Amino acid sequence: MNHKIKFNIHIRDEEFFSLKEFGSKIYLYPEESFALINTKNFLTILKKYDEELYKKVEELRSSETSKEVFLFKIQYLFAPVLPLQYYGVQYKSYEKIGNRILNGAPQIDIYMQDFLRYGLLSYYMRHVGDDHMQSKLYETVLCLEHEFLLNEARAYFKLGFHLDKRDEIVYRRRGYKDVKSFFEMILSPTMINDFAKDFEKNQYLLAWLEYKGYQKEIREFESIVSSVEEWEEKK
Amino acid sequence: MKQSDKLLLLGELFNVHDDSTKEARQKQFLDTDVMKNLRDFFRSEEEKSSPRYELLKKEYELLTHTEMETLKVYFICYAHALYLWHSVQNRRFLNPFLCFKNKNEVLLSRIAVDFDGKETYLGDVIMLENYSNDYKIEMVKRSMIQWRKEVIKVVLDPLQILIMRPKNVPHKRKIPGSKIGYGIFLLLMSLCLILLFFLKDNIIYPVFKFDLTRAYFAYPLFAIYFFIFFADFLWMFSISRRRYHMRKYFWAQDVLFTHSQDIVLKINHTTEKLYHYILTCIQKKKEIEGTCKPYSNLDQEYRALKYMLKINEKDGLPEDNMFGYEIVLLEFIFLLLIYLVICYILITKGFIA
Repeated sequence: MNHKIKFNIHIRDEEFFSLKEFGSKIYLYPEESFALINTKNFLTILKKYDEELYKKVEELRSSETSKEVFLFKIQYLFAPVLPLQYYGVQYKSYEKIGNRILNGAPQIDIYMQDFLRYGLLSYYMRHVGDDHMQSKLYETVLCLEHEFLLNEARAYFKLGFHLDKRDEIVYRRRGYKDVKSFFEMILSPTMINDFAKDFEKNQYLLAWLEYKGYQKEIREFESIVSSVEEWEEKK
Repeated sequence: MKQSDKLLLLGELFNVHDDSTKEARQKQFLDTDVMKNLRDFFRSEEEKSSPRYELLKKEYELLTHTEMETLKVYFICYAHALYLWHSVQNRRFLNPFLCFKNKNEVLLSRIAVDFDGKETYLGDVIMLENYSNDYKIEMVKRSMIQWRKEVIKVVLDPLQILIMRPKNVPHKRKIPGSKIGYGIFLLLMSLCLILLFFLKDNIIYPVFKFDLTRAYFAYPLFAIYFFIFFADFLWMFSISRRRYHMRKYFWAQDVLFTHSQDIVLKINHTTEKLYHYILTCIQKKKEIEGTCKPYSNLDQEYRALKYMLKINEKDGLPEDNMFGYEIVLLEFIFLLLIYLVICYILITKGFIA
């Protein structure tokens, strides 16, 4: 590391005097940061400053095809001690991620989905050592990353439930903890059509039921529906 | 499937039931397009006696009688009805293991398989250019599995039912004791009447001479001869029919039960044989030759099975119904009366002391 080299990075109205400082703010300026890191000038200076770090950045540049993932990972190279932060939002705890996912339900935040899509959450957990400290949660996240490949929306909401540890489903600003009373409400003639139109697409309800441990019922439901639809298609 | 139906189904799995009754569900099910189509199809005369047709028809009948206790049952039945309709529409898809009647005529190369959702003859599959051999084999394998499943449904499943429920069918090769007793009685009666020829002047002789003055009692005796002869005939007919059915029954029993393990081996062997033959043809791009004859070799088992199922349905051998105990009893009373009349005549006329 060459301490003689001083950084002076300008992004919009902010000025950063060290890589660490810059790294901690990358999530606020993804576009500008990405453009800057990829300039020849920046890379030359970085090489002179810390060759090992430069090699890691180059490795990341060649391996990561997604801009978001590249920026997410590089921020922890420049500033290793950072909270979880991504695309303009900083999360002080895992619960905050879950909370944000569930508060937005049944809508899906595409940036939040990246935690599973690109394995950002598990990467962060490994980075801060939570793969050992919170091994159960880490295992769950890995399982959900795998499940995401099969069913994006359900894995996303299940992540929300697991991180937030919330046991209730919210519909029309009212929380329901009991499955039966929730079904009695949504199956009433005035509600059924409104709820039914998107429930399978958004997977919020099914994620909640799975989180509550009703995997067997969900499997049975899906097997009946898929066999009906399979033959309907062939008809 | 409608989204609201899916939600209702999901709710039911969590014990929140919809308001409809099972009768309403059943009516709704029978009124679906697919069930209407199936009903029309099975009313038509097509392919009336092929094992595949019978199998599909049986499944359809089972569906029409299923009680729709829950939505779950409703949708399972609905999916099955859709599957049946799909199978019925693909009725040109012959099963090479079940071409019993025309196995000498159906060419193996003209058997169609489902290739990427299209009916394609086996002979044409070999010649397809844009597909790899592995892919062709995979497609053929799927049809093979389907054919094998059908064979199991047509032969092994009913056989299993028969083995598990061998009710009201005889287990031993024997003629019932009542019939043997009746036979002995007839034999004695016949012997008695033959002996009459040797008594005094052969008492029915005047009948043959048309000597009406001496034949007033000989005519009834002649009638008795006739009736005894007729009863003998009935008895023999009954026994021979019974023996015929017994023979057929025990043949069926031998085919199905004694060698049931052989049937499974036969199915496996035939499936493998056909699969390897097609595999070789695909790999070597060789033309498929021959008919379904070597592979449709379960016709004997199928005939035996149909016979046994019929017997099982009727609770016994068919002959038992034709010559029931009531008829045997009536014949016995009739002959006993005649016997008494003979004795009376013989005693009053002094033939017997």
